[in-house]
Amino acid sequence: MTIDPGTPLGAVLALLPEVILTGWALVVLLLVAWRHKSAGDSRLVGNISLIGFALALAATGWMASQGVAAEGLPQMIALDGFRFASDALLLTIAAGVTILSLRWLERQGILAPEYYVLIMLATVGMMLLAGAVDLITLFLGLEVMSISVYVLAGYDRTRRASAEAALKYFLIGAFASGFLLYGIALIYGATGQFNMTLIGAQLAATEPTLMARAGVALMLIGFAFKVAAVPFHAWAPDVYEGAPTPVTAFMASGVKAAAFLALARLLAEAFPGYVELWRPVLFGLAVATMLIGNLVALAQQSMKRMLAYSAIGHAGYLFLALWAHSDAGTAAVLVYLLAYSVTTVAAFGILASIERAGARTVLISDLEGLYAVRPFAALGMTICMLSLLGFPGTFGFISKWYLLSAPLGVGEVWLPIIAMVASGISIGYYLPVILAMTLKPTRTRQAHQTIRFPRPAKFAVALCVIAILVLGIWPRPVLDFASHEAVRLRQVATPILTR
Amino acid sequence: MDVVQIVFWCFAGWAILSALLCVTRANPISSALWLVSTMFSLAGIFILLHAEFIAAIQVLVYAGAVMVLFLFVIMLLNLEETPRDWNRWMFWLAGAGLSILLAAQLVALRGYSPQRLANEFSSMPSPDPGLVFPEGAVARQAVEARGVVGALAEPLFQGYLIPFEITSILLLAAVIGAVVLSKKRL
Repeated sequence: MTIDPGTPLGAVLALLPEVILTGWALVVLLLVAWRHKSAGDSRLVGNISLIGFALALAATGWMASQGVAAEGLPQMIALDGFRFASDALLLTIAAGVTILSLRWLERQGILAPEYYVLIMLATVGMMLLAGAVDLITLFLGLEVMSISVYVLAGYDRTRRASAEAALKYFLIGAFASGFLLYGIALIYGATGQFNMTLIGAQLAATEPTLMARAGVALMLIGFAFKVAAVPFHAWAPDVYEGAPTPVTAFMASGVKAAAFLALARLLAEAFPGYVELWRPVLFGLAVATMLIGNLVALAQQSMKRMLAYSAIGHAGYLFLALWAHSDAGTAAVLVYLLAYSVTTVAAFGILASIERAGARTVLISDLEGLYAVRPFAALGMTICMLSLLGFPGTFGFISKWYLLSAPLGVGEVWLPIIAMVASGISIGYYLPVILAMTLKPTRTRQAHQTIRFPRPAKFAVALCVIAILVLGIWPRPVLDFASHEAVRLRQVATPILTR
Repeated sequence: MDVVQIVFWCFAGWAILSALLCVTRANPISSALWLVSTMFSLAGIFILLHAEFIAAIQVLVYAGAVMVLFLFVIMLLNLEETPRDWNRWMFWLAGAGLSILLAAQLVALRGYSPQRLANEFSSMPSPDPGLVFPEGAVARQAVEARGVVGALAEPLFQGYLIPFEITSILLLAAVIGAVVLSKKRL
């Protein structure tokens, strides 16, 4: 089905999931206006916002099944399988985070149901960011996402750490947006275009200019801040630790995924002519991020900080797929993000259930003897750690193998070797978590008695863990789908570039 | 040097001078007032570029509404006058480094005359007339075709309708966030 996004109906159809989710967020906001007192209200609002995610997911599925495509060149927003896949991924992450928040917020005494509205608006921003084919849409999507997540990071207003996280994230985020915006302005100055495909055509047809090079470099810096790549990562551990745990899950999975999906599209469609310029930059970022992220994680005592540095390390692996600049690489971005996000949401879900209101953050030593008291929670955490590590039998292994084969496919050996070394280092902090849970005895008799695993969260975490195991054994459909859709991403750009 | 150029240099000098005064004043209210002055001089430059409507909007919205809001906030916050520490060599070093960088950029762009830009763009695969901009030619063409307001409204509400709508979502998210974070009891 082809539509013309220039007409009003076409524009609504092209943005159907985003329109539905925004509309639903407004309805929920109206509801919040008079139902915002009790814990029951908060739960009600959370459940209703889940319907919004389901509707948007259904719309995405419908668009993908109909094969909705744009007449001519897509304007503002992409209409291809890559966008539908990213939308589905981001909506699933957001729904998972909402489920994790359902009872957790009430238990922590955070009774402001606008939380769920902000999650929905942040998701709209992520979907626009990941699907944008126009630099203006890309920037606005990024800002919608960022503003909502700044507020969510500071949502626990009684804790100083939460406020500190929000302020740090806001200042660094504004700084990063400045870089990105300056880069966009220079790219527009060099090409006169905002559309990624047209930018790609202009840049491929002309000699590299200083202005365009500076634009590419500044945009890369902006994205490096957003995905917390070394040396632009200093904000991440403090922000991840201070933010409410479900929000940390959202930042580590959703925000990172949206930024990487947008970067994958940008590099494939707009800057293929400058591959010689950005490849060394990505190489350096990948090596520094993998090594430093994983090495510093070794020294962490707090689970949240450890997972924050592990998230930095995973961003480094993802740069490998982008570096490859091939269809296999783009497919690997999708697969790896799926594996990483599912695992992250599950790990933070278990962590959230262990936390107590007003208590200090959970240390690795606090998990000692968890297996004896709560075997299923310990088992889930073990599977998450193994998947993050890339242990055979989990989806993490398949996705990491798929990711490493992308640079190997274009004849690069050193990046995969360094990634293997970094994975080896990561054993040093994933394994102690497992060992603490299974081998060490509980410290006191009362240990782990305060764990409250609400039913919805239990359900979501169990689903994630089962998905990790099932996809670890039977990944064919996901891999086929990803490689099929990634090819289409480049097909849009090539006809114009070769003209 | 014709009259337009003389007027441009007057406005440009005024803009830079008031921007400098804006960042060097110790009192936030005088800073804000110098910002108003910068906005006025920028409006003058917009008029030179045949963008009269944007000039009017600049004065109405930025110099008027936004600055009044700024002044309200400053007065409500009741800021003390804090003596600035000018001896911090770090600030001076960072400032000097940034100035040198920007100056280098200016020097690098010095060779770009409007004619050279026009030549470069006409050799590109799709020479868009909107890319060739000797002294407000694009704006003049658009104004002749669609009128002063239409030249702004048509791209805003047709070509860039989707980003325009996304901006409203952005503002909504910001408003919700501001209320949630600042209100003690919800």
